[in-house]
Amino acid sequence: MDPERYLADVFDELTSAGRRDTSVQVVVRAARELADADGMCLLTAAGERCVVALAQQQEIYLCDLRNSGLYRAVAPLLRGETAGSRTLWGKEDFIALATGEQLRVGVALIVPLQAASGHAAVAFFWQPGRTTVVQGTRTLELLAKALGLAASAWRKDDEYAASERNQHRISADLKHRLRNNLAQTRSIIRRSQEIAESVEHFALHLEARIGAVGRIQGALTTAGDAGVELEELVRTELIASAVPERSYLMQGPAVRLHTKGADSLALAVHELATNSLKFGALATPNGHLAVTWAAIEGHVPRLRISWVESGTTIASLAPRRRGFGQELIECTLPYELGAQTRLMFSPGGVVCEIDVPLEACAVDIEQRPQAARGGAR
Amino acid sequence: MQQAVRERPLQGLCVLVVEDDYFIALELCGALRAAGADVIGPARDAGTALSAIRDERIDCGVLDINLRGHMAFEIATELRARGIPAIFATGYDASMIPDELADAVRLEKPVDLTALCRAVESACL
Repeated sequence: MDPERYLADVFDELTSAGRRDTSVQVVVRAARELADADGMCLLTAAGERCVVALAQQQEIYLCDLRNSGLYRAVAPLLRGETAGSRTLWGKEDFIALATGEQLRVGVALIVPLQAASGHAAVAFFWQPGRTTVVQGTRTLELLAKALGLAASAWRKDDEYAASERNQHRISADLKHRLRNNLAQTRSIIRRSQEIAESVEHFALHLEARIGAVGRIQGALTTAGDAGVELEELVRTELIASAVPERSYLMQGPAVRLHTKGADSLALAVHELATNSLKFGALATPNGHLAVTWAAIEGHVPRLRISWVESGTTIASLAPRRRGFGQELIECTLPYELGAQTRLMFSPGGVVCEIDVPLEACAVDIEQRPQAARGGAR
Repeated sequence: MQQAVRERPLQGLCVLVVEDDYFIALELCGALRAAGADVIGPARDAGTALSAIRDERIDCGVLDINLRGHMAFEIATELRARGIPAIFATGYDASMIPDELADAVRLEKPVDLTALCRAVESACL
């Protein structure tokens, strides 16, 4: 065998191998043939299980390397802690084969092949009683370098494929969310129409509701998996309704809401704000609003949000029939988030309590208590 | 819709609705009831849906796929096991649906309510 000629052929084959498993096959076969020609044996490993091929017998054994000294030497390579190939000379060790045979291990060469799942390695061993020629080890070193290059190319391929999969997932998610939002918007239009008192009433409220849906969707798109801050959500809705900063305060730990929680709660806050501006505390100069929230510990940890208006008299102005906002708080939140809610039209203004299982609405919640904050930061 | 209301083509059929969005659920249930169906649910999660399948007479299921992040294919599989047709009303592409459920009718959100009633009607033929 002319090793150089042989290697050239192998490299050609490697270059044209379109798929990773094909490349691995090419490399393992080449390594085995080179080892054969050189009176060595070849070992390939995936994780902690190894295939040991004895060059002359052409037999393949499975063995467990965990308890052998060889494993201690190979493990960092298998874990990918060392990049490229490594030559370990002069190490004397033995591995026990399934047959009971012992193999003397003067590890010549270990090349980690980064397989799709975990790592694989090829190692060459002297066979007992055999010596190898220098020519052969050089050939193997060249092969090792080629494998190192191929392995880094595969890693790049993997990263590229992963980023492509990620792109695909993001675009599928966006498409799904868009369709869902359209469905949700249509159902809100339909419901608004069913309970509207007049065309003007319908148009005015619908426009504002779609604005609220748009705002929270925008915030969710920006925030991604990190979630939207409850405080930001409340502030955004109050600012959108032009509520003056001196009229309200917010107090509660930092809570980041996930998509579903933010979606449902934003619309609820919007309706409460709209109602308050029309009939409640925010409609009068002396009225005040406190939005507070806290984590409630228990078997099922909960988030309790309180909306407390004061400084106005609205008992007589309480809606005679259930409006959209009331339905949202009394039906939608319990249905979508498993929330317990109370909406009271008390003498000082509206009081609304929303008690939601934390898991149904939040990504996480900060543990330490927070000072009260007004509208202004 | 008007035609469906007149004809009540779903008269006597029990239709399970699984949808985690309240207003969308209301809309689907409203359309099915207007076409004469008895609505079972709406169920907002897999647990509620599965116990309804155990306890109630159901002739057809209309299912959203993503229930607050939980994929609802087990509901469709459970209906299938009982010989009950399942219809997906979802924002997902067909590629998201597992092969064994690929022949189920998939209506894209926002769902055309007339098409929904027609799909239920033909699934129950």
